[in-house]
Amino acid sequence: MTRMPSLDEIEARLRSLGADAIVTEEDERAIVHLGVIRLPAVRLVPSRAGLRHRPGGRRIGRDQIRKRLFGRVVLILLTLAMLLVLGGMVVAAEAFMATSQPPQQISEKEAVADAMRQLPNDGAGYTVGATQLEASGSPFDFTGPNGLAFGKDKAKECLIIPPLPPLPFLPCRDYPVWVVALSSQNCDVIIAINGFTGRFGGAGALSRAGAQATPGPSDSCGISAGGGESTAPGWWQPAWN
Amino acid sequence: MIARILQQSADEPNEGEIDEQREFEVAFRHVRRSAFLLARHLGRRTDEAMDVVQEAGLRAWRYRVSRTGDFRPWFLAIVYRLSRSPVPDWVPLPRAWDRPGPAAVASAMDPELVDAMRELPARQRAALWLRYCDDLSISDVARIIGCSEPAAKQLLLRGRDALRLRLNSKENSR
Repeated sequence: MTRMPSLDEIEARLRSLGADAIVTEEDERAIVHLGVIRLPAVRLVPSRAGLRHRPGGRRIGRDQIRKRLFGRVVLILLTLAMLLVLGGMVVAAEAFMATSQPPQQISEKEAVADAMRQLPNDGAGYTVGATQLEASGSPFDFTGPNGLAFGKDKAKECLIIPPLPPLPFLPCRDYPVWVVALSSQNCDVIIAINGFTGRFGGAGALSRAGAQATPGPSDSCGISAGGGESTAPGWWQPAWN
Repeated sequence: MIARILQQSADEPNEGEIDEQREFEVAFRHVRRSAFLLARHLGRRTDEAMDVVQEAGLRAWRYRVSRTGDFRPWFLAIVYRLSRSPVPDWVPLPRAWDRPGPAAVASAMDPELVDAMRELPARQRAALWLRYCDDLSISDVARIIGCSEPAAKQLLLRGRDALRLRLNSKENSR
């Protein structure tokens, strides 16, 4: 371990270094060449600071400022355009991957878990009465074990590239639907689940006080559409038309 | 006759202008070495440093009426600004676009010190060189770098401290 040199020692070493510590032969030749300078016959021009205080110079100063601002604006716009193009390419690549991969259908167990998530307390107190898979996504009517009927229109979902709105030329697909009938002491519910993504696809509820079966999101029996965390990718969104 | 006299006065420099040009050339000759080495210490190659000093000479000649104080710090301030502006003004890059200083030559007295200086930020490197190697006063260093005198003192102190740490770590690593 050596002793750290003091600041005074550093100063002394710097002073003894002198001005020529880095001068090479090439540098020496360059310095000699610098001896000859041809001064052009230019009109005297004060400094930029001086120009700003003179009426004639103010125009030059503003031109320079305008030029710099213009250059900066152009560069910022170019950078933004490049970022947009790059971002678009990344999103398009991801969308292409999403469309090119064959969709995988979720299992009955996953569908029941997804349906439970739409109920209060993740479906605590509910038991599964029946499940049915409508694989083609065509319109169907389902009747639960307690006589509760549930009708579903044709199930279709379309590719959405956020933040763009639905575009007509992007592909759409039919998706299978899992229908899960659940019952508790006070309620009988039927929940439709997207067979690819596990998302909520409609529900009907029958409370013990009176019957009401309505497709789509319902407040009955505390069903909350889209409850729970969805792990499915957001490229495909249901098209209700 | 009057027209001929006016023509002559517009084209040919008078004696006062010739004297001014001579004075300028003499002042330039005295400061060119320091200016060249300042540009080199700020990371410019030999040919770039030559260009910087020549450009600074032309600018100094053009704006000579705006000079206040001594020629040397005024001219070195122009060289400093030119050496620190490697990109056109309209490109939004930081002005302190640091580059390492020149390597020590074999015949140098203290190559370790020059090596350690190379690693310092360009501002500190220039301040140390101007103050201790080129023997300029602190007020001149402040004027060249474009800061206040206390800031220049602080810059020099930090530069010496950084040099001390670098030299110590190099010696310990052996």
